[in-house]
Amino acid sequence: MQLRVLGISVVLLLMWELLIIIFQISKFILPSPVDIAITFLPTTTNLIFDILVTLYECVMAIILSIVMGALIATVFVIKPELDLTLTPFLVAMKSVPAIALAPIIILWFGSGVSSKIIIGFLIAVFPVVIVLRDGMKRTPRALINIMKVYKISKFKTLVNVVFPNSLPYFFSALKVAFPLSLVGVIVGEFMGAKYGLGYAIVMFMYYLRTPQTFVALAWISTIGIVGYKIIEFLEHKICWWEHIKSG
Amino acid sequence: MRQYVIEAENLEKKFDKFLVFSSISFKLKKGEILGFLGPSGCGKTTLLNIIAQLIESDGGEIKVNGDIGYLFQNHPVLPWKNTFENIAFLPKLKNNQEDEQKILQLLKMMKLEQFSQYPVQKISGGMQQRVSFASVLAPILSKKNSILLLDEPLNGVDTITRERIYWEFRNILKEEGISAILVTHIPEDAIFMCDKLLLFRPSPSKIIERIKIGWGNKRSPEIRISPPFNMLANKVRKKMYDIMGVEKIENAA
Ligand SMILES: Nc1ncnc2c1ncn2[C@@H]1O[C@H](COP(=O)(O)OP(=O)(O)OP(=O)(O)O)[C@@H](O)[C@H]1O
Ligand SMILES: [Mg+2]
Repeated sequence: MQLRVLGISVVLLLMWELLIIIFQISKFILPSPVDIAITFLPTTTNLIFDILVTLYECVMAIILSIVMGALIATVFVIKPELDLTLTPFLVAMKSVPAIALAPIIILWFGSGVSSKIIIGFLIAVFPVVIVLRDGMKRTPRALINIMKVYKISKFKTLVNVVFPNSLPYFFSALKVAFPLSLVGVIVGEFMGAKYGLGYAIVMFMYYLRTPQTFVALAWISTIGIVGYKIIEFLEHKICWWEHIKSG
Repeated sequence: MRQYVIEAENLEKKFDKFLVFSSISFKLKKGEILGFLGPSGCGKTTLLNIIAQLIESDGGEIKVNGDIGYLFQNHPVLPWKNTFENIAFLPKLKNNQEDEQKILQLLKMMKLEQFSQYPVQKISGGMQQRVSFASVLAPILSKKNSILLLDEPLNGVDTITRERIYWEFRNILKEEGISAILVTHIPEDAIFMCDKLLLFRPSPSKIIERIKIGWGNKRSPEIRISPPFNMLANKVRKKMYDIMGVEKIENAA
């Protein structure tokens, strides 16, 4: 599997390189893999601080969305009336793309890291609320009924049955929310920032340093891929029972 | 006069316009084991749900005096816990402590000692049913006024193991003075376990026969191969044939 991925990547890179040689494309328009490779190390050295800033913003945004999302989802499950009255507002909010709010958020919260965290949070929190709420609601009726029969409190039921049962949904939410928060953070950096990979891309493009732009892009996707892998790893560790092969 | 732990009077249940049963009346004495026998869909599970107050009846009255334990028809296990933890789960939540000795005793009774640390998804279907059985039993053992509702327990467990478990289980119920209602489709198990049987007809259902089992408490698995036992089992089976109606059986064939 890993080998096949590697093989396909190599073939794609070769085709890319060939295309550029055949059509004589300028490296300001589309740099070749070799152009990018040459500038990779020096550019990365220059970008280290920006990489860390983007990573920080992204991690904060995802933590915020997960914590707030889990809280809101839990409240919705405990108090379905609130779900019914508030979810239409959430949907209405969601139909204004959070990206479109980015300039206003930057106006309100400045060009530092906090505005990026807020944009990433606004984009990622909605799917977290929906996935977690639906996951918790899908707790098997029988499990809830057992707790009722044995007169176990609603709070204990929530903590000991509903939460563990919805853990797989929690990780699904995380998998959806993480790339979204990364998008939010990068877009925020496009619109007004002092540091970060999004900001670096804007600057590189201003001076038409296209190969360097590709290095920044490579780092953004690295954050995306590594983050996703970490989530997957944690899921396998924590939701081990989901991965037992049944006969 | 011994006290009654359940008194049901003229119970009736409808789902929309569909009448499941009506005029269901019975009493359960403390320490008594009552059997429900009846065709599929006659409302046995519905009746247990009313006793456990999971749903309400549409008529009649029910008085329950004791702590209910309930093994559902398709009782779930907790996939994120192992065998031991599944059985210890309810006692732990109820009393904030687990009585390890009691759990070990139940593991032994259910022939699950070797699987105590197995994730429940790695044990067989019949073993999972035994885990469920033990898990509903654990929190009410040694409670003085317990009423256990059992909806077709041990269905996927082999005959010999099932009969052994029923025997040990009956002894525990009698020692502890726990009252129970057992729903089963197997007349032999009903006769072996119960002090009294209620036979139901198909919906719209009613109790159409009450049978007392007169063997007292001296029962052992050998009783199952004695002629009187089998004569009684056949009598019950014949009654069920009559209830279903012979032409209905022919239609089904
Ligand atoms: N929630 C419900 N809504 C509508 N109808 C229901 C509901 N629950 C049960 N019924 C109906 O009530 C009748 C009795 O169901 P119940 O599950 O009590 O039967 P049962 O005697 O336990 O059958 P079995 O032996 O197959 O378990 C059935 O006809 C069923 O379709
Ligand atoms: Mg049933």
